[in-house]
Amino acid sequence: MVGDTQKHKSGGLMGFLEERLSLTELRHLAEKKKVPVHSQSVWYYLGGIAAILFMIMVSSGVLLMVYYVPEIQAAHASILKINSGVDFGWFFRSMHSWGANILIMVVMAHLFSTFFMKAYRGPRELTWLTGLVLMVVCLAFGFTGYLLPWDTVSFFATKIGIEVAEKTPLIGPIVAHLLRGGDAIGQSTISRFFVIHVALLPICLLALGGLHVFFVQVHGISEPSKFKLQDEAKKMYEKFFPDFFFKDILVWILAVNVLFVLVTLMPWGIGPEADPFAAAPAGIKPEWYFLAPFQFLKLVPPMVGPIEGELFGMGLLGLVGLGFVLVPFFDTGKSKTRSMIATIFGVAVLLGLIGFSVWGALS
Amino acid sequence: MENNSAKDDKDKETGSAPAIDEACNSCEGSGKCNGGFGEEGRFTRAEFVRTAVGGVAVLWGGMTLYPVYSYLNPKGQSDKATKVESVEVCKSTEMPKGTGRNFRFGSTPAVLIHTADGQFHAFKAICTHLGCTVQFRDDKQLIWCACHGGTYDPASGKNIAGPPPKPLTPLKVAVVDDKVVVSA
Repeated sequence: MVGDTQKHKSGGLMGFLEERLSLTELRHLAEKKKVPVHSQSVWYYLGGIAAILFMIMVSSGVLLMVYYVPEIQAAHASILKINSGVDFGWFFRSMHSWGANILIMVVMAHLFSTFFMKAYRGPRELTWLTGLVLMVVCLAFGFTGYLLPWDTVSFFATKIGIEVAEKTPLIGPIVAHLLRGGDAIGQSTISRFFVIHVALLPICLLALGGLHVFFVQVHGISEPSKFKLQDEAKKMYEKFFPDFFFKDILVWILAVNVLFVLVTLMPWGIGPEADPFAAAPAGIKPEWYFLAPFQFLKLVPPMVGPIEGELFGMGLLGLVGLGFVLVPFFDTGKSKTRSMIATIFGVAVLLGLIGFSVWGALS
Repeated sequence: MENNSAKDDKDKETGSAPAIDEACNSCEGSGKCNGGFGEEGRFTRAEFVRTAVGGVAVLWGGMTLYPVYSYLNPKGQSDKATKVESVEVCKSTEMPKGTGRNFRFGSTPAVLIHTADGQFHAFKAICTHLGCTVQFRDDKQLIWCACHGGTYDPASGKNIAGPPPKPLTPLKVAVVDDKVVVSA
């Protein structure tokens, strides 16, 4: 070690950094980390894509904040200005909106791929649970960001979302009142959603994301059971650095290119300014990632026995969420029956999600 | 850890009693730990301090959170400012039979309907399902919510189809000097 330090003392900038950050040790550590190579390895890239998209969201979000005004009379106009009156404003705003949609799609794919690869099993329960909370944080980002342009659809989407939250027994009315900043959606709601969107949620996401990645480092990358049961000699691994890392970068570039193509060919528009006293326009629908619960809640009758239909529907959706929370403790890998039940549950939820979303989009 | 055992050994040698915290550490792994309680199950000083620190932390947390909650909890002054008793919506001749229109009633959206039988009816236009703003549909002669497809009877406001669980809140309507006046 003393010899190493001596060696790098005359090595310019790299020597300077080596002396202070022990880069060689870090590189050795990254080289030691191995990634399993098998037919499902492709799913390992999704977490990385989510991370790069999040960085794009932060950068474009910071740029949008320069011109966006979180004030009821000016919010819509400021987005119009960004879209048409500021150089490249349309580009950064579209990048933020498209990026959000792709990010949620990638995070959902990441969640379901880890679910079906049974990566939630011990000792990775905490990795799975932090991932679930991160999913909720991403949806909260989508929900709060949706209101900020203050157009008709965003107004009603927020109204419905908060009403749903209000139906939660005991804490629902308090949470709804705090979120709205009063009894009706207005200036207070914009201010609160803005703070939640640009300050509170980023802090939560960074902290939880850091924890999530830390857990991955602690336990290593999960191996599917088929791969795990193979002979040691037959198992193939690649080094995280540089092999997987450079492939990861290639995938990031591809993802960013897909985003740029969408942004350029289909720039994100804005609807008419919200009028809190006008009727909800015909054909109003939420963003695609809320379409499934939207369509599901349409079907629930007004009353299910003694329970209000809305509460009953939310209870059912809550049970699905609870299923995801409890799955690592139910399917620990020791029982084939339990493993099968977990898989059937996942398939049912995925099919329900796709089915209700398509139905909602078409109806 | 090594230091602790070395010190324990030293204590044995010198015959002096270890301090309370050291006594807790020394029973690690021996299976005889009594959770910091004294021999007769009494509070030790360490246990008392741990409980006190925890209690103070909870109190301090509550004292901090209450002002934050109060700060974030709006007092609803804006509602008082926009509260109205009655609103003059339009002239009765401006609305043909079988039509409706949305209007603002204080801080609430409302809907006025002129039904085919010549009567005027008004309701708060807030869907009882999830709070969307309803409208009167000329083609169906029904009050309809675009969000989840709930429908209401235009004369009574009763929920007749879709997910709404309750009727719309009715408002009073009077035609005074050819003007349609809606009141709470």
